[in-house]
Amino acid sequence: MRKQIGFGRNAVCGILFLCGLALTSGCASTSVARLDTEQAVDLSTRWNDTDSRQTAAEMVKEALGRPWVDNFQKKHGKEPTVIVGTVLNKSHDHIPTETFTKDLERELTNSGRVTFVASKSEREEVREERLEQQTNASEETAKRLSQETGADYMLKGVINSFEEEATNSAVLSRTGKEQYKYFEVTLELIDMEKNTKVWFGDKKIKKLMTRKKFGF
Amino acid sequence: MLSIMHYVQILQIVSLVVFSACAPIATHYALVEQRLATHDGMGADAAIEKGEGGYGRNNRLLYLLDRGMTLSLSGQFEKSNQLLDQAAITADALYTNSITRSGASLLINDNVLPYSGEDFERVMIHLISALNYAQQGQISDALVECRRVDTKLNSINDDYKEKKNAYKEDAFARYLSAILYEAQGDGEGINNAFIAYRKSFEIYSDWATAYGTPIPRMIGADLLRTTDALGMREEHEAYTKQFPKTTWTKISNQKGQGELIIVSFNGRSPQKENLFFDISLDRNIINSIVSTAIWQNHAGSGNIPFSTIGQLVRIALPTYIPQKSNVGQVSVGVAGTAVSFSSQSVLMEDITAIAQRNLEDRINRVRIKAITRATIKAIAVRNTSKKAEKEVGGMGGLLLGKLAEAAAATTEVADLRSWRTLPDEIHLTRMVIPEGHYQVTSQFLGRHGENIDALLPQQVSVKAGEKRFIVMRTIH
Repeated sequence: MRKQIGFGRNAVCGILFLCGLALTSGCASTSVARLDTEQAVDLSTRWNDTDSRQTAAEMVKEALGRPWVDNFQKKHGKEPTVIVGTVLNKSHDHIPTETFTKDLERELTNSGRVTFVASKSEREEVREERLEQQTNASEETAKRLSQETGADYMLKGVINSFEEEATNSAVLSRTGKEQYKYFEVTLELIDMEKNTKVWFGDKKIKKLMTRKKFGF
Repeated sequence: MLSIMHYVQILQIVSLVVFSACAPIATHYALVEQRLATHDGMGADAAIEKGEGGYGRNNRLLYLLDRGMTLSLSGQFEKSNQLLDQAAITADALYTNSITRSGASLLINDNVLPYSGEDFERVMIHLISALNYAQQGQISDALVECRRVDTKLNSINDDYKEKKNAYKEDAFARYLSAILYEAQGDGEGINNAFIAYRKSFEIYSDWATAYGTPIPRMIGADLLRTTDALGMREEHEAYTKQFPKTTWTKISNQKGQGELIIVSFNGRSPQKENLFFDISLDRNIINSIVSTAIWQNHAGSGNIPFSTIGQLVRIALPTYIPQKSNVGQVSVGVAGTAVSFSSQSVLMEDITAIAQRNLEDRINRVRIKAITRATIKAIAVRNTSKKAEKEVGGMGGLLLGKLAEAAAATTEVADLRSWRTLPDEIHLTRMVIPEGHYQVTSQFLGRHGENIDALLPQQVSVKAGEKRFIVMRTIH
């Protein structure tokens, strides 16, 4: 009888274990939770359309609820005219500031509380003026600008971002990192004639990103 | 009972593990480099695209990095940025915690893990992307990528608490952001530019010792120009003393002029190779690995590592082999209808030096992991041999024991993957020239001034106040 060369099933376990594991690589799952808003579903902590729309709506609402609107109306007997200047992106994300500017314009227009004037070419012109204003911010330039555009107020602002990492060392090895990201939008409304600020608004968006992993 | 056929199958699985885990084969990169040698960016990109399948599922990041690079070199900036963005997201998702990430790598080797990129490679993603935006004149987007360089470095350095990492900041990224801020033209831009130039100067002072990269010669003029424009008298005077022989032009005297900024990628990034060490497991080594989180998380239960004391095990660690560029300087000539200018490039970033130092800084972790892996394998081999002897006996048992030993040894290779399409060095040339249309010629000169490579003349228009970016590549 021919003896077959064979091995016990258990004995092969070690090697199969070595080899089999090679085929399973570490899986990482990413979950993003957005704080404050319940309905928005975010795929990352990056700036998105919802952020743009919501921030514009909330901030314009806030701005229009302040006394400067009524004060102007009492004094001049008409609605103030507003233009939207540049919103500078100083954040760590690529933010289409044009879209955000449009969102601001739409909210202003739809509010019915202010008159809104700005064609694209006008905006370009204003932008140049604004740059000049920044370098030599004199009353003279502001006045000239208001005459050209017919605007009483200009809305402009900056978007910043910063990150924060929660490092809970006890759970760190199992849960990975907890990372918070903040966007801070600051807008200001400038009285074009007096070159003074009539409103200053600030909104923060906080996002939480948790990375979990399936370990062995 | 298993037959000899199963034995063969096991061998096949082992070899599959060893070979499939490897990064794209050498011929793939040879073809890409051949295309780049003839300055055929499109051809190089086509080669990467065609070889996509060869990267394998664990090397998706490498494909994105390589493709992002060749798309950029072939002028497809938008598409390049899309892929680099995906690469950044992929790398971040994989980065979570590289030490305790997966048990599989503890039994085979690190090649079974998806490649998550070296620290400096994860930073380079944003630098290449910034240059893509800059070449399209999208200054604020380019600045976003420069800021991302900063946050990436911050998050990486948070993980180097036990040992100070040399790669804390990127001087070139800072310098690039300074140029971009200056391109904004207004007071705020010049202010930000000054901050970035000053920061860059500080980092280059560190880099001079850390990487042997000299402080770029134009930085004195940059600091003098911006402090002058901002009316910062004290700082300006201090820099005048610090850079006594530096000639510079006032920003107000640059009206009607634009600037040509030529970034040159020279040579090839270093390649990783295996370094094998045979170490004898003693009580000290075992004690030190048993106390690590990596052992406790993945191997702790049921394994008694002390049974391996006295065993000789082989570990493999990666090491970078430099492929230094032959280019010492890029000579750029700019010819207009009435005027012509020429300038020499300056070394801004020695990627090889950064890569080597970066690997050195984290090699201790790799070493601990390799020894832990070797110990786990030694235990597996011992258990397998014992069982085989008991259950099979004779020749069969011996064979199986040897097979387990062979599997443990052949699978012990270091992770040799890297972003191969990165250059060895990054150079920069800045030229302030009157608004107009120019023909740009560039020659890559050797370390002794000999001709090494040249590009066909390029037609470039520069507007007043504009910073026009051009990126060049030589493989030599």
